[in-house]
Amino acid sequence: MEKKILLVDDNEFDRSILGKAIQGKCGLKTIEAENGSRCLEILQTEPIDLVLMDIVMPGTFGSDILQKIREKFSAIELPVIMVTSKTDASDVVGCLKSGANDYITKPVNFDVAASRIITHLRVAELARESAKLKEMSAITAMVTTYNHEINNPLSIAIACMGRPDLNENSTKEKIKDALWRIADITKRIRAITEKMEVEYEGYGSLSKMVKVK
Amino acid sequence: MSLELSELSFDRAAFLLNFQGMEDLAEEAISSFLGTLPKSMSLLQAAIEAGNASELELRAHSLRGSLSNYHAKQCCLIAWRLEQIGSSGSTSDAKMFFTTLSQEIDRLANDLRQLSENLKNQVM
Repeated sequence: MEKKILLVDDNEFDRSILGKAIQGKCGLKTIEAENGSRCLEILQTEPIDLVLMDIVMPGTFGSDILQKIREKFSAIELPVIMVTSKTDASDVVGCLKSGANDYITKPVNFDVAASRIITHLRVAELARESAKLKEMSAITAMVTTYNHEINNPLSIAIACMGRPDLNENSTKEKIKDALWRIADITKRIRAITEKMEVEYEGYGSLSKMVKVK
Repeated sequence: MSLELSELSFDRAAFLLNFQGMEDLAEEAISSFLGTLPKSMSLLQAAIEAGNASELELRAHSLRGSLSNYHAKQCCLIAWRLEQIGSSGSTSDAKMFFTTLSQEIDRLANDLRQLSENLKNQVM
């Protein structure tokens, strides 16, 4: 799917030229917001992959908007790159502390901006893949555990079925206990799977692994 | 360096380098910028006349950001000075700097118009 970059700058001219340059350099789709409130509105309604935001804007500072963004999106979910003048060193430090992933300085070098955008999009993608792999490992461990827990009572039940004293109460009781243990485990598995949708399809283009949603 | 180049109000080479391979966009950047300049300057002037220091700081900052795209060092320096005046909470002395900035901006606009014509001819 085509990645979408949200450009936030009060200066229409700067926004428009930067947007066109990014489209030209890395072929990414850009959406523009003229202020912080419009930026937050767009983030609520559209899937955005990265935000490029001017630090100083009338009415509000980019750093304030950044804090609001971080209340909803982590640095992995939505990378934010701040755009600043070279003299705004304290603002840059403040923004990085508030959760900005990176910053670029004015005059914006379009090649540098394009490289930083692509790098942060890739980092976010790798982090998401890594999180999914961790989730998969947890599921694998869970399956192994429950496989073991089902196997034990199942072996007991099967062994009892072949015994000559099958009709004796003590044997029936053993079979009953084993089956109830299995039933209890399947209930626990159901409770877990209801919380988590597991989708069996190709995970990524290169690895053939189970994709976990 | 020739006299003509040293008198340029902006770093033409640095500006064009950034737009390498996108000359049509460079031409558009100049035209749009020239179109927005009168409004930017009048907002700056209005802030000075109203004695609104925070507005002066903001407008000067915004203009400096745009000017930096053209590597117009002299203009950026004066805009930065206006920004500093606004940041100090006053607008005194701002008129003098605004007048100097207006003169420099006129020079920049003329130089950019020339470059724009050259770029148009190249694109055609």
